[in-house]
Amino acid sequence: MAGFDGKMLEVNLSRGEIKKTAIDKGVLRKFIGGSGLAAKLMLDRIDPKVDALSPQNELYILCGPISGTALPGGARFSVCGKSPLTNMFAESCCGGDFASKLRSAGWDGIIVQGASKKPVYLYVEDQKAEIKDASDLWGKNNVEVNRVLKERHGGRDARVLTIGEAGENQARYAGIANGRSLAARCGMGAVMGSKKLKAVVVKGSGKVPLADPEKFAERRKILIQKAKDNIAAQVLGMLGTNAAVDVSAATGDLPGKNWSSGDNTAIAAKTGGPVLSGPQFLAGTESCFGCTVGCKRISKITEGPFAGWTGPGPEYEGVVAMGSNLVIDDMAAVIWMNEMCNDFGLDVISTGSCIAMAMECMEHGILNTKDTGGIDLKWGNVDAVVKMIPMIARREGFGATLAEGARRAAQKIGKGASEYAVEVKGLEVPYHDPRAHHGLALSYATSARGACHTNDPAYSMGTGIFNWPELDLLPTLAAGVRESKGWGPLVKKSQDLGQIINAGVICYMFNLVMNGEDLTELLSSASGFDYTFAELIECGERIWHTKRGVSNLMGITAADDALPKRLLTPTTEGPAAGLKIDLELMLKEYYPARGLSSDGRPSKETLSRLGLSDLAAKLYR
Amino acid sequence: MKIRVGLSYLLRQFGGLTAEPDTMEVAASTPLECLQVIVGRFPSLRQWVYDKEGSLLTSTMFFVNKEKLLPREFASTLKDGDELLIVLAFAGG
Ligand code: SF4
Repeated sequence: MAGFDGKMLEVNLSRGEIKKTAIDKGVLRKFIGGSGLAAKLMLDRIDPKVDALSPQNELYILCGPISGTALPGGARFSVCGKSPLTNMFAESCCGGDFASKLRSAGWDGIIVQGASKKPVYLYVEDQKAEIKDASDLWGKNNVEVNRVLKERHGGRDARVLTIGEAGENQARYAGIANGRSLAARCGMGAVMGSKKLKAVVVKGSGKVPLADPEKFAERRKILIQKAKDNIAAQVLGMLGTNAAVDVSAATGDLPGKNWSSGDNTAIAAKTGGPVLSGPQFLAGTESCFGCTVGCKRISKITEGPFAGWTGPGPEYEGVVAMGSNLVIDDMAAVIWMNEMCNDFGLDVISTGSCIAMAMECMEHGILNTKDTGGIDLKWGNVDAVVKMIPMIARREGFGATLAEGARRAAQKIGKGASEYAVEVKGLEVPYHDPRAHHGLALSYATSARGACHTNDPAYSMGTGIFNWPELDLLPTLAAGVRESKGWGPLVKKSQDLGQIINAGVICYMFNLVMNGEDLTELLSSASGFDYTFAELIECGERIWHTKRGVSNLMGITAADDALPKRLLTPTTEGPAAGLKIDLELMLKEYYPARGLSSDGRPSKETLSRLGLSDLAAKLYR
Repeated sequence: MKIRVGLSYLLRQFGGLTAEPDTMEVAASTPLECLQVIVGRFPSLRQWVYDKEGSLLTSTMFFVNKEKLLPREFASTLKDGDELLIVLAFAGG
């Protein structure tokens, strides 16, 4: 069987050693790959008490059976480890073109241990791997380092992962870039920076292995046709993910002014999909490797202070982070600030959230310009945000406070600032308002990595375009988004499915066009394991509980399954006005369905049913 | 009965209706009937709201006076002066 074999390159930067290892087949079958496999590796290999930024933490750059194949939505890989932002299990998914080369070089993942004394990068060419000096690259940002390393190692053939200054300076929400795509969430770039690993360059001359290429190709063809026929995929191609701004504004899903404003239609009209993809700002479109959808925008700025720039356009999250949530309606500025975050290597969601919190503190007199080094962080002030982003990445002045993430920054600021920190378990909330989607509220409160809209499809379920009859997750569920009752068992099922997608690793947009049969056929033909859908769902459950158990060992309890006060307070205007989330009720319905005990640990029965006796032994010693 | 009907940006864009006014007046008594009238007026909208068999796509949503309707309310009677918004549901980002 030549499928997904779990061939790992293990790099110890403290000792300067590189070795090849392979994951046990039984483990691969049960944990699939990607973030599922990472959870198992973390359980087995990391002391839960380690500081996330110490050499003892490990960084996992992992593919799944689908990663790097020519399946649309199959370009993705996962970056995982203990998060310096949340201090628990972390995963961050990235598109781009890295996975295809890593796998065609014969690797399914890279495990990075220890820390180097001086800046280095890892160079991999097929079965050869070398640690190289990166002193000349330290201090440079993503676009420049990517360019230099591609030039040095053979242009288009070299695929590159980099960190910018944010990662070097260990800003707690620094991400890792693969060209224009970022594994942005949870601070994996800070972990890479703490190891003094500036980049990874991969060249591969082989083929991405598939256990049953014919069966895989057949299913790929079906999916390409389904994507062509699917309205959501068509919208994605035409307007990118930012098309959601328009719909979100109408449904009350679009946050504004640090989640305090419920009616954001005016800003949506100036920053939505039709504007970003209109003649003024659209220079072209792009796709991740092998994808036929083409949801990526290439933007241009032709007027104003940022005129003359052309490059990767923002996604929905970037537009809202730099737009309505900061009360900024200037599309050119939003595009530019999003690009700044990407180049410095900052997660745009967290950056926007930290700045929004600071703006609200400023409004209420908790902060003043003396605290911020003269920067007037008032709502809508583009100039202030443009100044703040490099300061966060470099940990300069007030930037050092915001580089800690909203939770820690608010604690440091004091005087009630925590009221304006919109985070769950330390991870800043992505920009879909759960007051308009109560299922999403429960998903945010219990997701495996802190507030997240891509750890399971609860968000798509709430919009009415999600249809997985095998799991009884039907479009009609959208009818219940304004109520809290009934979501517990549904979110449990949605999470199980989400774990499979993220272990696959498959682009999230594709769960909108797939069904259980597609998923089963794809994963079986790619990996060589004769999965059934039922077995995959059990894998999803096992993966969720392993992630949760690892986080429990790191200190997470039931008390952490919470939402910030801001989201539990209804908005007073807009389409979701007056809707109150009853989180207590939802957790009451969710815990038994999820198989959690009342203290927030997976119950002994659940662990035994899923064959997780190793985790049980650690959790219940 | 006269109902003021708006179409979301996405529907206006995909239906090629960006040059049309933001809202239009329609004589009909339920959200579904309003949609039928509008599609009759602008056939380019059809593929974005109905499937090939003519059934309503699950991505078609209605809001009356900014309140989201449940599917069972799509055929309920509107009142004179109600404002109906028709939206193409989408999830992204
Ligand atoms: S849908 Fe978009 S994000 Fe997903 S793989 Fe395709 S181009 Fe990449």
